[in-house]
Amino acid sequence: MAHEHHESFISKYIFSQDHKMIARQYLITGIFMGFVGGFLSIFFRLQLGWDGIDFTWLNGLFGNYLSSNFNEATGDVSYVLAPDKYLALVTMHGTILVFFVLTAGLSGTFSNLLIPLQIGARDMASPFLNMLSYWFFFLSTVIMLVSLFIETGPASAGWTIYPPLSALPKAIPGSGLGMTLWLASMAIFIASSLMGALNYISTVLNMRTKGLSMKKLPLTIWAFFLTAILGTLSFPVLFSAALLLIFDRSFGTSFYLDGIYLADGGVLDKTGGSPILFQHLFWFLGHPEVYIILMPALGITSEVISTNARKPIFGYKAMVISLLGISVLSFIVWGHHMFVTGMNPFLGSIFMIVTLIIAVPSAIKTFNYLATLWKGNIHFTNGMMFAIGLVSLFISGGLTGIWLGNAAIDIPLHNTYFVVAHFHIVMGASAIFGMFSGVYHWFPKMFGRMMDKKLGYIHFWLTFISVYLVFFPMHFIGLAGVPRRYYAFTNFDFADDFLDLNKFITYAAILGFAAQFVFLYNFIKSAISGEKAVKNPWRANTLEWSTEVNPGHGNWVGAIPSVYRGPHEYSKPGVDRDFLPQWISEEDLNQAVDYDSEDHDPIKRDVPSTTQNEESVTE
Amino acid sequence: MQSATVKNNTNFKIPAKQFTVWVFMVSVVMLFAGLTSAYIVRKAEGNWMTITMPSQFQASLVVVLLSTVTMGFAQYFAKLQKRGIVQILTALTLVGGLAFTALQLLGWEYLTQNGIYLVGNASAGFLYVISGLHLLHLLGGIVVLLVVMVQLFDKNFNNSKLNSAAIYWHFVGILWLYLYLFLQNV
Ligand code: HEM
Ligand SMILES: [Cu+2]
Repeated sequence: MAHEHHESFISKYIFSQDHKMIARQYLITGIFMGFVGGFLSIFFRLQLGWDGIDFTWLNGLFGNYLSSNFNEATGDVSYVLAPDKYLALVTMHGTILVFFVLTAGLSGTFSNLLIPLQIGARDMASPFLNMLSYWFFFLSTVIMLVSLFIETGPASAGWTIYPPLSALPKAIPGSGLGMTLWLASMAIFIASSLMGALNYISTVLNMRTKGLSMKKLPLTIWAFFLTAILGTLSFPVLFSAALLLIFDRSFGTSFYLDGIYLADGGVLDKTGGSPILFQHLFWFLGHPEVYIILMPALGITSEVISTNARKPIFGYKAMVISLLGISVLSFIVWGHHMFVTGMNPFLGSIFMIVTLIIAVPSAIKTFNYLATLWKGNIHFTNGMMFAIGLVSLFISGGLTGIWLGNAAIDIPLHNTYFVVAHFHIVMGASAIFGMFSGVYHWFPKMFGRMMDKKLGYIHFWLTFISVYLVFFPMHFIGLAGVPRRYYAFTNFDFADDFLDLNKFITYAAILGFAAQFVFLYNFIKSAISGEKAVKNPWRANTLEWSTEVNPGHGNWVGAIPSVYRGPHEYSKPGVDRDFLPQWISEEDLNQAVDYDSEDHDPIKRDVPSTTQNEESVTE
Repeated sequence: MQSATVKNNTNFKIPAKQFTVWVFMVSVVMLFAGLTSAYIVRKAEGNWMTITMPSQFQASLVVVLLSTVTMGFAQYFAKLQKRGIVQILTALTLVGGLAFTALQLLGWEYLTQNGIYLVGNASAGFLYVISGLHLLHLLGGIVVLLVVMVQLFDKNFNNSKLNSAAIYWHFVGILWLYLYLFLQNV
């Protein structure tokens, strides 16, 4: 039951077991990490735009990244980014964005917030495990951040940490302590996401309220549920890859290392290890991981688009089946990241075929988004803008996936900026847009206040435009054969043509990063003093809007509402109101409800008096 | 009064926490699936030393399987509310777990005495990593059993805890059966 039990500051805000508080903790940590990761990218974009640019202004903060050059003639000292630290920055940028922002920040926030609220549960199956999951995540965040400041620099082998750079502690400076910290942090991270996923799965299966069959689940929940399953199946494999790596690094085994020649002239004392083995294990996680990132964003988009187009989502069943299809397929396509590892061409063509088949469910989803928008009564809320933005980005980035999925096209494009463009648009930007969409849409549920709409528009347009300005030109750079992860392009004639374009991209990236401060300002200001929210500001159908504006621990005062229909009954023909919430029974509907009243609170009687659902009470 | 449109929800019969144990086991399966498929891929690349499994590992297999039997009987008598027998059987299971641990350590000792070290050919590395990681999971099971042993003295003990622990115990037993057959034959 909702209750007035006494909670101390610590149990309410720090070691909270309330899923809504944990969601906020995830969100705030995620946003913080987003700014860190974004800042690192500005740092290395400046280097790419202006090779050898002077970073004296950053010397205090980032001393160990900058090597000082003393000019004998003029007596000037300049601080430039050291090449190995360039690699460190890209590695940490990728790691932070992929795992800390878009995996934990996105899933952690919205699975935690919405699973209990949208399925009608008082909390997760195991609130304690849930709390533990956040604090493991927090610990891994701290370790990863600490590694930014150590003398030899953080891990520098790319977010994919391929051996030998990751397996040989003396390979490059970042291969030493930095890599060890990376592995420690990620091991804790994996434990955290497993704990989260265990909870999400058993909560969705076990704790749905009366009447809420799987066929009536909002698409957000379907997406979070399948994401959790992907995580449970794929993160352990990354763990096994990392475990073997740790043995190679620290105990002298040769899983990934062979007797390779060393820079100092010697031969490494290892036999028979295979770095390709690591790639197989890594991408067996890595490809599902990209869908772990994307699917929650797709789920959020589905709900936001349906609500704000005032139409049922087009093809609910097809949406669920596509998510299922994507989930299954994502486990058998990892080889498309390895076309150039000398794999048997026959195997390559199998990976190619299954990869291209993923385009089918992806296209179905895109089509359904567009069909839902078609002739809808579209409300351009901030959440809706970002959701539509996701659809745009998903199309642009998905198309280049079809190029790369063809082995013959991928072989010249592999490891070029074309791939960078592809995955930043289809995964990075799309998922970030999904996350923003969710934040704007559920902000009233999280903080009881509304975000500023005008600032939201400014944030949207600046972000949307700069994303395209940054990543679209990269396709051309990549087609010309410019490789990714290079410190500078000033030494190669063929890349000279792109020096100006690189400057342009850097300007656009700075614009995009600056735009995020508009969001930050809006977020903080609205949380403190935004317009007070009403119970159901978007006139949505799903259960979370049946609670109080600021639901207490336990979510519903009184009985948990039952569910009477699917989540998308907007503008139903023959019904005189434009939405039919899941929690209102037919009888109650027939009584006139004044949903244009002063306080814009459309639903007067939120807890149906007719139902009892005591067996779902968990406390 | 109940509205006609409200159906009972289709929720599982398994308690949520026990279900969490099942999902956890799935993730452990994936962990070992990762390692054993790495083993296969690595072996296919040649430079591979074939190692015969030490007899201690066979003995430990028998012991761990016997302990899952005692565990199963403990569950059976728990259903019949025979608390005393349950305690004895759980204790026996625990002893089985400890014997398994000892046998694994002896097996490692035998291997090293015969010149098979963690460092060296990757096949030995896999043998140690896989059996070691399995042992860690079994040790986790021992801790859980100890907790259950203590809780068995509590008057209001409810069987679902014992069952969750038992499910996990059966799982680590069968996991070693799989790993043993895999390491022996693949
Ligand atoms: C139509 C669907 C898609 C196809 C056919 C496809 C295909 C590919 C291929 C073949 C590559 C490897 C390129 C290379 O390294 O040479 C690749 C890279 C990548 N894709 Fe996709 N992709 C698709 C959709 C997606 C989606 C939806 C996401 C994320 C949500 C995604 C994320 C990535 C990432 C992160 C990489 C690069 C990883 C790295 O090397 O660092 N892709 N894609
Ligand atoms: Cu992939």
